[in-house]
Amino acid sequence: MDCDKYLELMSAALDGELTAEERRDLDSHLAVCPECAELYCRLTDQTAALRDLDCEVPTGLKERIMGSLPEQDKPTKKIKPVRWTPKTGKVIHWKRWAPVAAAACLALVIALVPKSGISNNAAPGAQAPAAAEPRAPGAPMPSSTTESCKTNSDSTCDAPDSPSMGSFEMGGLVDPAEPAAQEPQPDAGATQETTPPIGTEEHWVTVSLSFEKQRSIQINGMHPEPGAVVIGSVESLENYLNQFKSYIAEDLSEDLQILQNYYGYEQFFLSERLLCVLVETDRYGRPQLASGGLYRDRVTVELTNDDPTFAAAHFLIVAEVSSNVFEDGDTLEVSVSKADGRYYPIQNIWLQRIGISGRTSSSATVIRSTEELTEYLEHNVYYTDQVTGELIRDPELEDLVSMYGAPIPEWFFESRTLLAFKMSCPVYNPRYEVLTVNSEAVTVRQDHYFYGNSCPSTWLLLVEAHGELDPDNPPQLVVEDGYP
Amino acid sequence: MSSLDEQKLISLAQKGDQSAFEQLLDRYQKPVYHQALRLVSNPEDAADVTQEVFIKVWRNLPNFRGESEFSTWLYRLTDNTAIDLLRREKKRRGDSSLDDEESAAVLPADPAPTPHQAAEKKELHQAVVDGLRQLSEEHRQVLVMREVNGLSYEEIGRILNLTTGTVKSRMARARIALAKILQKTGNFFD
Repeated sequence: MDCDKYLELMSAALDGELTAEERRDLDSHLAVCPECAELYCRLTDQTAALRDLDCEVPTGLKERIMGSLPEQDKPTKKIKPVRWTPKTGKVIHWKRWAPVAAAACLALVIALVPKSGISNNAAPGAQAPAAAEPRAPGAPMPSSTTESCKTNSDSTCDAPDSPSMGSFEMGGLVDPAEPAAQEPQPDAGATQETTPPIGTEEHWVTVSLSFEKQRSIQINGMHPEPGAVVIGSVESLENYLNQFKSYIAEDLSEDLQILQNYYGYEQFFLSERLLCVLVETDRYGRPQLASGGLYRDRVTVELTNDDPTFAAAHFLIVAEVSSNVFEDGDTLEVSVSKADGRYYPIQNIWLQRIGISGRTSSSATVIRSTEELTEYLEHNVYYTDQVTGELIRDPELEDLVSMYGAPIPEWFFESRTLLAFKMSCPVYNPRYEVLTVNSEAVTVRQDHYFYGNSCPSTWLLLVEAHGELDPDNPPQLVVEDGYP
Repeated sequence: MSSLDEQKLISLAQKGDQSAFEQLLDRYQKPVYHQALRLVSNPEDAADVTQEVFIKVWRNLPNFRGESEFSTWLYRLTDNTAIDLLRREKKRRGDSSLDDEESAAVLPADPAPTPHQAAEKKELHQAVVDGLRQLSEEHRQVLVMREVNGLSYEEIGRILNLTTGTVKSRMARARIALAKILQKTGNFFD
């Protein structure tokens, strides 16, 4: 007889949480199963004993408490300006992420094919056969989030009740590890070793602080500026999450809603703060806050190699931190460490069937603003009508000005530039992979992915780069032929 | 105390009125102390936890907007503070057995009952108190919130960031674990 399912019903019965149907089900089982009937008896007795427990408050406790009341905190209403970070304004220092001048992040590759005539199987407007998982603008990027969401929601009620699984209950949110959760949590969230007086700014920036219940959420689509900020009120949480809503693909809203549900009540912020760290990662792993890597003014994020199939992505890491140290609106510097010390560039290759005109160039055009990008595309992304010979502005131009299916946010060009190359390929649909990016060269590997059509094509390659670049001496494109 | 009175007291205490805060303390010090006592199993530690909780409440009251239950906030604070203390203690002792119900179950009984424990004369009560002490942290948390504080599944879920379904299943496991401990020690069930 399967008695396991009745254990939960017995417990719920003791709490008066059974529906009439469950009650009938339990009663009929207890009538035929002596073991469960006996267990239910025991549970009833022990519950009665527990509820009957009483205690006496030690005498003088009230006086002790009243005699030790400190000064009350001032009410906090909204996000305060940064107090302790060395620089206000920009939250994150991207230059520290990239080893030298530039690190490739985003490669946006646009195919040039004649839009009329020439090829019957290249119908205008049709999506090119995938070189690297082509996506329409606005379509969600491949994500494990949806999958984990499904798994979690399916298993929520039956989640194994063990410490290691204890925090997987948030549907769609994945908890890679809780390094600090098992650690002791001193009052102020700090651990040992300090010379400056406790409570001073100097003190807090020298000790590593604890955090709890960290979770990472994969963000699909464009996102707010990467960085770390402390959320200290329901209002700030709402404002923070609302930023995402203007960028993300639709399927992520559920995850953010879950965050909102879990932390969107004032009691939480009375005693805790929420640290939100937004990072971009490579294809090699999911990020998490490094154990011992949280300080008052900075935090280290580790990229784990636990899932080599993981696609490049953006992640929001949230963790609970102490309200004694962190205040609403505090920003922290973020550094990213990786086991093998390398920073792998993000490479989202995005194919569009779109016309490009003009000469190819192996020298990069440096693009530093949305306006420059728009102008560049208007001058380079159009095609010649095969019948009239007219130059026609590509109707998909608008989509190109968007990346990840959303308008490029203001911060994007503040922390990086785009390098544009136009290149030709002897086949219709090659596949490109960005290998390295530095101030001198962008190296890509070109695989002749699709051999069925020998129609030559021209491509626009946009590579996301960080760091200082000399526009008069831009990086050169180096193409390695990956054809065996 | 009616909830209206409580709102008034909270509102006064938020403005720094210590006598209003004292009345809140009168109302809540026992449930907070009791919760702490069942979590840390030691009257001195429970008193320290209670003091720390009310100091935190006093300090943070100006930010309490009364949109949710004052009591739930208190119980959450108590739970966090008590668990913090347990973990600090555990680390100090280099003891990893607190979370392990199997190994905890064979620990010797407290050699010297404190005056507080002596006051709890009823054998059955002492047995469940001892049993509680041997439960894992997370099982003890849900049981104490439910049986000592009388919180609903939903309130417990809010405090511990769990879904109601998870609270329900965890509660069942906690009860079964306690029943096993009580059976093993033989003090409760014949």
